[in-house]
Amino acid sequence: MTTIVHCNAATKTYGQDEVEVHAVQAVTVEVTKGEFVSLSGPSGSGKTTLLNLIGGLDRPTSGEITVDGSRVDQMKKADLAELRLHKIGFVFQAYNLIPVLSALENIEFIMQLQGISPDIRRKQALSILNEVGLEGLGDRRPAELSGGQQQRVAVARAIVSEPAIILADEPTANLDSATAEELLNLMESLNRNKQITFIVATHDQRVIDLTRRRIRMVDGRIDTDVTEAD
Amino acid sequence: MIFALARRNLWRQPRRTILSTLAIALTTTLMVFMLSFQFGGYLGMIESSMALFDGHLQIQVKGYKKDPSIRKTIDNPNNLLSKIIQNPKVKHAGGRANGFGLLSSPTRSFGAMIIGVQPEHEPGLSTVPKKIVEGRFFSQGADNEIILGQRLAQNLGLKVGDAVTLLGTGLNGSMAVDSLQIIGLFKSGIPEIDRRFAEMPLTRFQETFSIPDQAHSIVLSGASAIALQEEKENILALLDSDSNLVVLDWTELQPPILQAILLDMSSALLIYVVLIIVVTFSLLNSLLMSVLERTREFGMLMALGMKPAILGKVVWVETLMLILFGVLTGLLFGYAISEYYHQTGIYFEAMEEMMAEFGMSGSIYPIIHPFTLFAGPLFISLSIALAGLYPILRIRRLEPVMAMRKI
Amino acid sequence: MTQKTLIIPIAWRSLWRNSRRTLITFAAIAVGVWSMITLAAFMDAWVGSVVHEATNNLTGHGQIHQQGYLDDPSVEYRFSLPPASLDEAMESPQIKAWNRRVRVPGIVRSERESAPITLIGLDPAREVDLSFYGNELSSGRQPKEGHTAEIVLGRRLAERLHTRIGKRVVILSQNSSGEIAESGLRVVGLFDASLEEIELGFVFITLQKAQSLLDIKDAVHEVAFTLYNPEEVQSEVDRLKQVFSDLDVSTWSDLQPLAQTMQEMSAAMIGVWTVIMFIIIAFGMVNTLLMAVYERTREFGLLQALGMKPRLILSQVLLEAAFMVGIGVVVGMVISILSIYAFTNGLDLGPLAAGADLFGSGRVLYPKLDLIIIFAISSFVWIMGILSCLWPAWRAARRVPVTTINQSY
Repeated sequence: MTTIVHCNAATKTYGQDEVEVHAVQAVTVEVTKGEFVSLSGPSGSGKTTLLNLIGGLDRPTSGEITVDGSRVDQMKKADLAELRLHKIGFVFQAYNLIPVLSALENIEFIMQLQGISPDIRRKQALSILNEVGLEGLGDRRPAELSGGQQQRVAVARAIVSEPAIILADEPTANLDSATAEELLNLMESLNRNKQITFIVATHDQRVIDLTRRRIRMVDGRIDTDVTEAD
Repeated sequence: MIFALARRNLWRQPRRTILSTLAIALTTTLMVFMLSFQFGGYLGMIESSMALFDGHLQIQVKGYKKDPSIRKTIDNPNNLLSKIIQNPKVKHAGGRANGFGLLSSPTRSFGAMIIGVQPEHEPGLSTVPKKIVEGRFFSQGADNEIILGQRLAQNLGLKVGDAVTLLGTGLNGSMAVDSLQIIGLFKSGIPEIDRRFAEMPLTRFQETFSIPDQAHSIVLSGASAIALQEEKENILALLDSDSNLVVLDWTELQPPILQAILLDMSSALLIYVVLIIVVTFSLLNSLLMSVLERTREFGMLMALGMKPAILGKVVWVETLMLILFGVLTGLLFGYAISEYYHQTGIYFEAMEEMMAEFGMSGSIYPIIHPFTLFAGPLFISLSIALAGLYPILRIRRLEPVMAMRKI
Repeated sequence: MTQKTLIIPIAWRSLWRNSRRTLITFAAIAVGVWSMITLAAFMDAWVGSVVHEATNNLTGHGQIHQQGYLDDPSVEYRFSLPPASLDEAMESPQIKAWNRRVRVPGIVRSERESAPITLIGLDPAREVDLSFYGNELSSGRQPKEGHTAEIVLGRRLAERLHTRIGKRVVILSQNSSGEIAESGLRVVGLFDASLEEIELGFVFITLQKAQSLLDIKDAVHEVAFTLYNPEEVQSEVDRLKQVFSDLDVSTWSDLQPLAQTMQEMSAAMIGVWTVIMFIIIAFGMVNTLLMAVYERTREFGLLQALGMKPRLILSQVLLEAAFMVGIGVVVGMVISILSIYAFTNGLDLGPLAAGADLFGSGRVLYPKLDLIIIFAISSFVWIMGILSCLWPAWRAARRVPVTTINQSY
């Protein structure tokens, strides 16, 4: 089993001297390929911060973070962008899509940044669009899609470049339960069928129930880390 | 991709984009028109102030311009004329002599500048022959004839056909006395000139003022004063290298015109600079806002792996497109307006008197020249493009996590 | 606190919510206002200089001539008044200085050259406060009083004639009986004038000498005068017209229509520039305020949901505009006053003086603070600025509360 993410005593502290907030405190955790991990905990428990540290959006104050063999905490800004582009897919709570691009163009966007030729990326984007169940909606702009559809586009965009891992931050927060379930089913099937690794920060119980490995954080530390046997 | 993104981003806020485009377009239109008007005015000023007497280029004895003494003559002017006319840019050339004398009628006397002209060449060099309001200009071989400014004739109480007595100082203090018949009156519209100038045939002038076969200047005309100014060196080369002759262009013949143009240019330059500064500040806000309000979106794009440099490029292209729209629109309008007035001329009733002072009619004809067309748009574009770098610098400092937290 | 006073702090604080944007807007307005006021001051200085040159070069604020002299300035069109009646008419409290002059065309001849000139006979002491000739000569002295055979030339004319102080020149002019009168005179002084044509074209002798040369007894061609307050020239000329009903009394603007035209043109230019600048500023201002309103859509919705009337929201945005434009205008005013103040010793056009000459102005321009113009321009920008912000304000006020609160970003 390949290790995708490895955090070793990762700590992130905000604020200066006296009023320090330990958002993440000495977290050590390992995620292997094909896992579907939920990261839960009350607000302010540090789950988003941990996700950002893994995604290279933020730097740890101390400790080591390795993603697919690269030391994220030591990388330069430009290299981090490169890493995110090729190895990490993101799905956010909101503000997920580029408003001026259509659904299809949003999916193609990452591939464009990667420098993939127009024919290939168009074909790939179309097939992924079908895969996430948005056949025929490719020409719509984000504003013309429902919240669930927008998140599907976001997932499609995240998987299209075949990243090593997808990080999702409260992906269901703005969705009604039916739509949320559809999205979860999509993620679940992608995980099962394509062996895509997911780490989902959430406090939605349905999401937690769905995952096989459940990490619960409290006050910036890992409280429990349970893996359900298949 | 960058272009598609930039183009669509611009139309997210059509109102703002249109307002910004309009501001750029208006400034550009203004500058294009003002420049073509300004330079049209200058050209008109140069041409019309040279048209009456100076011609486009003159050959004189060194020092004659500063101290026009009757002794400083050019020998054998006709010989020189035949050489100079070989230059293809020179359309007409003719010799002139200038003197001063007292013109008297039986009852009145007035001092006047007397110009000796060659009847066969003069019509191509000066507008005086066209400004004859009574009588006619000299015909070839004219002898004891004179043409007076209309005002001068009026003050002398003389009409066409009357005789006038000339009393002046010839070469070496000799008395220059002559009796001439008035054959025509001219009206330039400039009171000073109509009151103080008279013309007579050069040959007769040479006799009267005792300067046989000599002249004070060779006057040349071509397509324009500027065109012949460029030909100055070539014409100088046609002259004997050991002669003490000089070639004077319009800037040397009419230094006040050049200085007036420079003065007007420097004040106009100030106005253009202020115009560009104000429009740049006016736009800087829009440019900055369009970046700040998208901070979250930029954060997301960066999280997805878009490098700040590329993001900066998108915004830069947006700015450039905006500039291009505005400047092209402005250029089009500026060109159209200038072209229209280039054809019809702009008439200033109130300024007619003032313009007469510069020898101009009441109309100004804007000119269209690459400089007048593109100088304004170029500097406006540069200034706004530079201002556009400021918001881009802010993007470079953006951190994805912080950016995404922003609203 | 009433609702009306409540919006003042809201408007003020909203302005500083995005201080960078507000500062840039200030800068645009301030530069614009600065350019308007400074341009006005310099145009005004230029016109002032043109008028000064026009009046100082012997014209004065007004002149009296024989009918017909202006069309044909020759010896015949002279007039003679009993000294007492002229003194009486000119001893007005408005009149600062006045002088009688003989003024005819003539010729000056040196040993080597001759030139056309205007011969002027006058009492130099009376030219103080009337024309440049009342100033000290640049070299030499004035002719002695009476019938002295002495003359003052312009410096450049002397150069052209190859003559100098101490040498003799001959003056020729037509006398009252139509003959050419000739007189040899000694050059005793040279004067400088700002206009080349004056330095080259005028020579001065004593009044008595001129009168005897031309054989015109005590007649003169011209009476010129200046006033304490040039604005009153028309009423003063009207009064003199009553007194000298058979003479031609004119104001400087009749005599120098060019200066008058320039004055009108400059006023038009200031107006055009103010409007153009304002339009360009307005584009930026409206854009900025539109954005400020747009990004606060939710907030305005909230305020309306809380029961704030749309009209009050409109007033709040307009008040913001008033602050924004007002501060910009004040800053612009201050900078322009400072920059005008920096030039109180005059702006020397230096090497371009001959060009300035062609436009009729002197070589040094003295911009003055004209509070009325400053106030007029500032209030124009301020009021028009607020008016142009009606559009964004109206957009803010007409939003329906529910839709705006739910609008997500």
